[in-house]
Amino acid sequence: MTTHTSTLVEYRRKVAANRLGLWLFILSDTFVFGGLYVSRFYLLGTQERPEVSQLLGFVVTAILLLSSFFMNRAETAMAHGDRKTFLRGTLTTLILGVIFLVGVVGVEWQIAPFGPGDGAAASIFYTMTGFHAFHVLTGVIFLAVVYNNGRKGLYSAERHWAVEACAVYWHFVDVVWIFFYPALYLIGLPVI
Amino acid sequence: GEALAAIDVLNPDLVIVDYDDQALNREEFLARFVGSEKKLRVVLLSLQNPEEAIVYDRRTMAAAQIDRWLEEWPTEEEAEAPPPPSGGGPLSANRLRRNTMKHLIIAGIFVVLVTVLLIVGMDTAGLLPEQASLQAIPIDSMFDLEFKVIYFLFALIVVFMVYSIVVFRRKPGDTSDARHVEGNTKLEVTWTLIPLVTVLTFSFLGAQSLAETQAIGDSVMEVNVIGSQWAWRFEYPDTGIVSNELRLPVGKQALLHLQSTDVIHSFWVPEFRVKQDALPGGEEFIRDLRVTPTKIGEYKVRCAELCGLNHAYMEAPVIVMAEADYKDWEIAESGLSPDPVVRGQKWYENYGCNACHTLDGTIKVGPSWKGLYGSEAKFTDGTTAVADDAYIYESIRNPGAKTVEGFTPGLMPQNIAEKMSDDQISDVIEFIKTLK
Amino acid sequence: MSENNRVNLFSTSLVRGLLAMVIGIPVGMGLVTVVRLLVGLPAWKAEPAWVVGAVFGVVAFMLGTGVMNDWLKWARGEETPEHPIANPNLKGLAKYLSVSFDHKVIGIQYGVTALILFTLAGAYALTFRTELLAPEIQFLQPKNFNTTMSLHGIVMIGAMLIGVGAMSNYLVPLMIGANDMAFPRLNAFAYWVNVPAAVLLTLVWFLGGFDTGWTGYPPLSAKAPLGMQMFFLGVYFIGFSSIFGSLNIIVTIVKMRAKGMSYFRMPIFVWTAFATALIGLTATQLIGLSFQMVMFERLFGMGFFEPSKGGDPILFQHLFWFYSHPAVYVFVLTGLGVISELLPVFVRKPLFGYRWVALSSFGIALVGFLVWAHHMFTSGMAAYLRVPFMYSTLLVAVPTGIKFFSWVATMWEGKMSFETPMLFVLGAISIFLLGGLSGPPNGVVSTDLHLQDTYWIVGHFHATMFGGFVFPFFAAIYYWFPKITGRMYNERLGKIHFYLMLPAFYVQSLGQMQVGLLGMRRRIADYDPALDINLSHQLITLAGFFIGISVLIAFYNFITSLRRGEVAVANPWRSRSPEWQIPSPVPAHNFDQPFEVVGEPYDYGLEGSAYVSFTPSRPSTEVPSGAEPAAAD
Ligand code: HEA
Ligand code: HEA
Ligand code: CUA
Ligand SMILES: [Cu+2]
Repeated sequence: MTTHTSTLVEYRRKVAANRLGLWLFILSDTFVFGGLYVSRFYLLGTQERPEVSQLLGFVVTAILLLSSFFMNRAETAMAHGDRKTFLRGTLTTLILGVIFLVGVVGVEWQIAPFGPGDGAAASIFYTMTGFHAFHVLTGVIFLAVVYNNGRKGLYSAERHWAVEACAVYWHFVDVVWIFFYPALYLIGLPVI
Repeated sequence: GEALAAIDVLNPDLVIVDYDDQALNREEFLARFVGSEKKLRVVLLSLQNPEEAIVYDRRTMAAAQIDRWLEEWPTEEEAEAPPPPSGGGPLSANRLRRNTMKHLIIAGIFVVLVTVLLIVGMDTAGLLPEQASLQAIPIDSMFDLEFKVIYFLFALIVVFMVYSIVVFRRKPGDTSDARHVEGNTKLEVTWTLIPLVTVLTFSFLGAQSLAETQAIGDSVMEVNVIGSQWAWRFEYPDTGIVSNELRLPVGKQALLHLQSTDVIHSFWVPEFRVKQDALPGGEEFIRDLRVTPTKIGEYKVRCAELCGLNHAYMEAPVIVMAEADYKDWEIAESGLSPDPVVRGQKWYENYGCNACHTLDGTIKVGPSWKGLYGSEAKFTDGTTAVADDAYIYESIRNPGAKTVEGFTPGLMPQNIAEKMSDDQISDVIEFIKTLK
Repeated sequence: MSENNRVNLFSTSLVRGLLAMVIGIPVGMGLVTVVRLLVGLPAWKAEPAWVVGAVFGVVAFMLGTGVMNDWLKWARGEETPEHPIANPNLKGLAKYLSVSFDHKVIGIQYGVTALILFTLAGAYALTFRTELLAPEIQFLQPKNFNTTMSLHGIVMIGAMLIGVGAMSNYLVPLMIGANDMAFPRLNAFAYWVNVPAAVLLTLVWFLGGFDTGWTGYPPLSAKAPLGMQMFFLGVYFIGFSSIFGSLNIIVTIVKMRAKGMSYFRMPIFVWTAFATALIGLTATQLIGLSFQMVMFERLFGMGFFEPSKGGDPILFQHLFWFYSHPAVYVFVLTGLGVISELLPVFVRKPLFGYRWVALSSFGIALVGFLVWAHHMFTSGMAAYLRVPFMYSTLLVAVPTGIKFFSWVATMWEGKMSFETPMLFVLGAISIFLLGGLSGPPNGVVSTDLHLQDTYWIVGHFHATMFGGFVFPFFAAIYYWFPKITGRMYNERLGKIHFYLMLPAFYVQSLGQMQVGLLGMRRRIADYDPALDINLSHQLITLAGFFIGISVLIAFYNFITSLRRGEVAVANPWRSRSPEWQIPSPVPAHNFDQPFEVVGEPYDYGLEGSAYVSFTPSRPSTEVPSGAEPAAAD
């Protein structure tokens, strides 16, 4: 995304700063998710959880994990200069991300037997999935940008910081879900 | 040669050994390092005395500057003494130390003076309101300790600061720098450890005094305190009294159960010192506070948590009364008879004793109360006892302890007595005494 | 005013942003209304409409200023210049009212914004202090009292956060030899988002105000008027500024130090900026989260903190204080850094125990994360938490003490001179000491049972905040005034400012502590005459007005000196710090040539020692300092 007139040395240095910046951002974001996570256990303990569709939860989780795999493939491909695989991987990740969003917001939210106002468990459920979905959405937008710019040929094996950033962010969002999924779907028994 | 190789392996920044050391060739030594680009940490020391290494100076600098720096140490005699204080004139180390001691002592005397003045002055000013509860005593002595330490620390730092300002100010026309003192690890450790010990002591004593404020008193009465926007309500479960004033007998611990019907409020009577928020949410959110008033008088509960529009006005009278006055008030307020026997009969009905115990000698679930007092009871375990005050009290408080022969153990609800106060039980005993 | 000083207001980012905001708000409202219509709800509901409208307004503002233009270009795959210059043609005032990517301009923008908000919040304070001159309600009804008081608190806090941003933005790159921050665009974004946030905080007045104080505890805040939502959103966006500003500072410090500047050779101020940024980066998220949760309660009927829905009001307090306690160290750490930075210069002695002072900032910051529940000793949280939190709270006294003792040792046998910045430093030390020492009684649970939510606490935090922020901030302004403007301030007026403000502040703060001990609760519009504290209240109010007057004198000083002050000499304080080795005002790209650190920062009194060297030694393969990465921000 930066101008190609800079030398590779300068580019690498900038990317080093960017990388630190990105990880700091992720550290910061972890505090939001951490706060939600703690709130969930503070309010519901380990005995309670919202009544949710186990099948759907399992499916969307699998989809998100799978998407991380493709994201990784795309990034590795770019690092080796394989543009085609990179583009395919990015697109697959993007589509899986959209499916995840539809699964959570479009289906789970609609079939849940409770609304956001039906007690603490419901509030926690909608807020945790909502915050996460918002991050997935921003990730999907990021992926779309990367895909689009990738098609224009803006990235090379040496210069593809945006791809790396997108991948790290996507994995982060994925890891968050790995924590959220058991907290919302597995631990405790349904109360509402 | 070998030494240089060793240095390469260890990779220190740079060590310059005393000139006298013949084993090292200084030129060769420097030549190896001047070319290097990195910053070097340099220590200039003498190893003449085998017991110790005398450090003359230490710096971090580029290799190119080392030569110039070495020129600051031309002869050995000068190198022996610490660098002359720049601009301060030639003071010997001893005179310097004596001077510092003098200043330290004068400043120290001022610190003591100011501390004493602050303690005495503040004591006469009277910082805290009247002390009117048992719980206030440990709290106030904690305050006392804290304030004294605060006065001392404030005096310590401000006096040293003002002393420096007055005594060490820059003289007009003097543009030189002060003596170069970088720090002193021993001092730093000292003023890390002493405050550490102080605050640990504070915490320890604080925890103790907190425990004292929570100690359970000999006789306890309970009051439900309910905060609502913007009024207090006090319910006395023993008597069923509901009041807008909190009346308490002096010397008796009141166990307050605090709750709120809407937002968070906070129960605080400054003269009692202790404070506790009242939370909405019912049973699960009830919080307790113990106060034992020690002074007869009128105070106010002042809601201490912002609770909306009229938070400022959410006050209610607290009236601490002599025991006898309190009884009178209780009786008048609850509409109860002054006669304990009449009250005892009322409790007999209110608490549902009549479901199991008759007054006419017939047996329902438990023994009849007729003629009970003074009779001899025979228990399932074979022992016997005379039914006196203590026995009846025990039977109500702890029904499972003994069971009279012919009755099924464990039928009487254990929790019945939890709702009854000691006063009420003694009323019931008076009532039983009359059932001849 | 000369010709080129005349500003075409409509060309400035500020005005364009505000206009965009005015359009954005109704667009957001319209959207809500349309959606509601589509799903068959009654079309108009004020609360969601205003919330979405406000969010749209803020986004529109940011788009209107043009601060995000380069990012949008990146997203389209377009190239942007390496060294971004937003508006190269702007001069004078217009430059400062427009987006700039120069950290010095941004620093000044932060600083002026902080002073404006400080004045606004001070005016709020004087308003409600006037009401408190006597018992009974004089002119300010309880409803307006609550709003005024709450806004005083939060606007002051915003002013402090922004003031901290001002100091670290202007100074950190200069002190470490960088030509700008690591992410200049993000830097500009972090500044500009404060402006619409301040607008939202002002909108509070038109939407019913709010009556919860700056802490916004539910369930009260879940029931407060609509103004509450504007308060939440305003704070939320200021929080954004903190997070991104902190991120930027950390990356800048870690990646862009001059050659030879190891961590233990950084100017001490940089250490405090680093520690501050670590807190700002992480803890800020929690105030945002806790406020959002209350917003959702209000918007969707959620029940995190509503007992009747299975929620717990105490949870909010944990989340809130997890940020807001560390935040108090955000307010003060940079201020303490200013103290440590200026003392050696005016004492002509090295900073005593540099490493200890440097590390104590991290000690304070880290322990500061473990003490939040000391605000909740009487809240009814789990009782077993009280004693552990007492221990951790009091531990903070230890690293803070290290700072004090090291300052005193620095002053001891120094050669002090007393120009205005130094006076403010000395004042800051004594006042922060008062504030700090009034902390342990709050931290000890048993005595806090009496002190919680009284004016003692009010006295405590005004002393810490004046000593840890207000005084050091003024010290910094006076000290770097010649650096920023190239002109000297008026020394006489500076001293008048100081000698008015210091005693007035002592009266105010000690008065607050005194009435608090006697039973004066916080946040009340009217107090019981029986407490016999009228006189004290009158003195506090009077002192507040004196502080106000002294601040006005300072403003007069700054404004007149800016135009007519004596031209400053190159290094008026004979400082060793790199920013004083280059011309004032600092040229656009800071350092024409990179410098190299060759000594310790504070070796005053060490003949022939130098901190930085501008003479290029050997040609270097290392990259020059002042590199400026882009992307990802
Ligand atoms: C702005 C900065 C700031 C700073 C630096 C501090 C510093 C401290 N604060 Fe303060 N505090 C606030 C701002 C600040 N505070 C605010 C805004 C509130 C109210 C919020 C609200 O409710 O609106 C508050 C409230 C507050 C409370 C809650 C009170 C209540 O509501 O009941 C407590 C309780 O523990 C507390 C404690 C402390 C302590 C122990 C320190 C310590 O860090 C102080 C350490 C310093 C020293 C102790 C002095 C120097 C040390 C020495 C000379 C060494 C030797 C000392 C000893 C051995 C004691 N503070
Ligand atoms: C940096 C922080 C800061 C600063 C500097 C101040 C400054 C002042 N504060 Fe502040 N105060 C807080 C932060 C601060 N406060 C906070 C966080 C709260 C808690 C709120 C809450 O409980 O939620 C609080 C609460 C608070 C209370 C308790 C209110 C209550 O509980 O009911 C009081 C009462 O005396 C008070 C008084 C003052 C006064 C008199 C000043 C004076 O020093 C102000 C002096 C005036 C100026 C600095 C401005 C100069 C400007 C002018 C003279 C005006 C000219 C104006 C125009 C021309 C428009 N403050
Ligand atoms: Cu109830 Cu304040
Ligand atoms: Cu705190």
